[in-house]
Amino acid sequence: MSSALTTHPTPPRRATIDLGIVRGNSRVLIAHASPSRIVVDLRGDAYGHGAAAVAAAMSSEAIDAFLVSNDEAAHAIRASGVLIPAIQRRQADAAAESLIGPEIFGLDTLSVPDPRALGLLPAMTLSARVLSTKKVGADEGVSYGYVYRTTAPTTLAMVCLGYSDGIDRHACNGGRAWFAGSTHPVAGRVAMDVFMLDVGDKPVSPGDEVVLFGDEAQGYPSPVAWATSLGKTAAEVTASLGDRIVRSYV
Amino acid sequence: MTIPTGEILIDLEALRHNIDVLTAQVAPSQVMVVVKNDAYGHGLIDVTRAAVDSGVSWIGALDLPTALSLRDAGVSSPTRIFAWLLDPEEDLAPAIAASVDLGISTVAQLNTIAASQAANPARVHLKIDTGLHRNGATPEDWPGLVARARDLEDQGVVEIVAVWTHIAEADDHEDSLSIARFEDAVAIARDLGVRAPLRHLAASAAGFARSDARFDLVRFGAFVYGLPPGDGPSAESMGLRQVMTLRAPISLIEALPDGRRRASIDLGFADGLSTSAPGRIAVAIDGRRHPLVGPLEVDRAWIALDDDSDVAVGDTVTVWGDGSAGEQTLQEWGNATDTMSEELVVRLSPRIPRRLV
Repeated sequence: MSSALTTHPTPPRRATIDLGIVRGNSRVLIAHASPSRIVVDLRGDAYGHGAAAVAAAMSSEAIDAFLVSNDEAAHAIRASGVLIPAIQRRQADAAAESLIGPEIFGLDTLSVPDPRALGLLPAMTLSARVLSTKKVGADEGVSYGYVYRTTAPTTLAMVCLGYSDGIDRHACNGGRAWFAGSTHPVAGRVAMDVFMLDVGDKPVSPGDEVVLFGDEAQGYPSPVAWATSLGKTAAEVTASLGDRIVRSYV
Repeated sequence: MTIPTGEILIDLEALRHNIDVLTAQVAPSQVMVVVKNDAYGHGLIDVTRAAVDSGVSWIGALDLPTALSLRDAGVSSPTRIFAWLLDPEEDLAPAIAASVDLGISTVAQLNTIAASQAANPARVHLKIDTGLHRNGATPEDWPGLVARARDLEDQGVVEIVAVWTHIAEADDHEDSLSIARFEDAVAIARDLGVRAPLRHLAASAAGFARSDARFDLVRFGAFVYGLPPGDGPSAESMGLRQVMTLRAPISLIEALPDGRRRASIDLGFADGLSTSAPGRIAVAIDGRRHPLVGPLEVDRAWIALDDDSDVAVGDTVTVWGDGSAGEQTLQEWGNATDTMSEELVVRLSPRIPRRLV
């Protein structure tokens, strides 16, 4: 929790949220919604995107209410000067509303499995710093239980995100993260605070940046692709990201 | 009007009991209590104070912000605070000044210490990689790391406190290989002039089970909180007690079209509940188990009720605990959801209020 309070030039764990993309997605979805009361679902602190900041960014859109999880979120939205009411589940009337869900962040859900097909872009880029690197030989076990073994001499980068940040322990089963222009496999079990990335023969140094997911157009895995490799929806992934990841807005 | 949607109960008596059990188990080796990630979701300051009051002199903090927040909270010398996840862009000077013990894997990190111009020597624990392949110097780089540390020790820039490693707990044989590599690294350090370093290798499972893994100090995280590994002996059978209970009031009871009833609690996947839990987990209401059923929502979970379930809105649902109210333990939760209990507790939202009992 306290790591977010450090005075780094850039924090080591970052979720950068593009509010322009959220606004753009909201216009696409509002245009497609039936002509009824429009409610935007910002539960779970806007699925990890920050309910107050997202509500403020959409305060001029044609939205009738925001749905939030608790009083704290409702207060935070009001305190940021937003006039659109923030309501909770007991005040909502599902029959009379069009509820816009986490697809507004470019995330898949059970009801919207392919947000990109609707022209919706992912708003969040999740990235973290390489803390250290290590050259290892072929057939070396990596991380707890040695469930991953290197197939050839390679370089491992230790990235400062772990399961306490909401990165599943089992992300090694198919999870890939972006580094220096291409994606690479998560090597071995994700630990509580770090995971290892097998970057092959790419030169890598402490301080370099790894992107777990973001906009596919920039070569990053999409949040949907990342979540699919975990057997989850992207909405579940972003909503359970920890507070040590510093949110910032562009 | 704020009705808590759930609460975390922390039994500090159980925590102190566990520390006493672990201290007796590994004596004469010392115990380090690991408090990373807000003490595994149990509360950094409360857990650290309880550990210090129990006579623990080593606290494992993970990183410098956590270590410095403990010093700021009054956890002062001679209590040792160990931090080993160092950010290459981080200024080490405040930690050196606060007498935080630093886990060091590279010559570059030693050079950063030298450049920080601290007034007092930095206390360093030199790390060897014995197979886990995360950080720690490789056997090839080890003599160079030790030699550079010795140089800086002679200049009064560092004090070499310890030699340490972390093992994979892959199986007993692999762990024995790591122990042998560790002993080789200690011998090399001694040959290069390191005098009587503390040696530490084991975390909870190996430290509890293997006397040859304990050396001078054992780093206990999970076991302090009464969280044993999955598919092994229970906490109770090891003499440990689970410290955390998670509970929530029933927020709604509704009848489904087919006549069955279900109850909700206002905790969902954004609060840290596992999406694998519905269908695999049962929670306790008034001493009776009821299954969690899907869908797990962002801020709500559903519980199936029997025809004869006599429950009402506001009744307490025990999600997990030590089993004394009929609920499943965190070990059982971990096994049922294909993970470890540690993942379940550290992913809980800090928004859920925590109360000491």
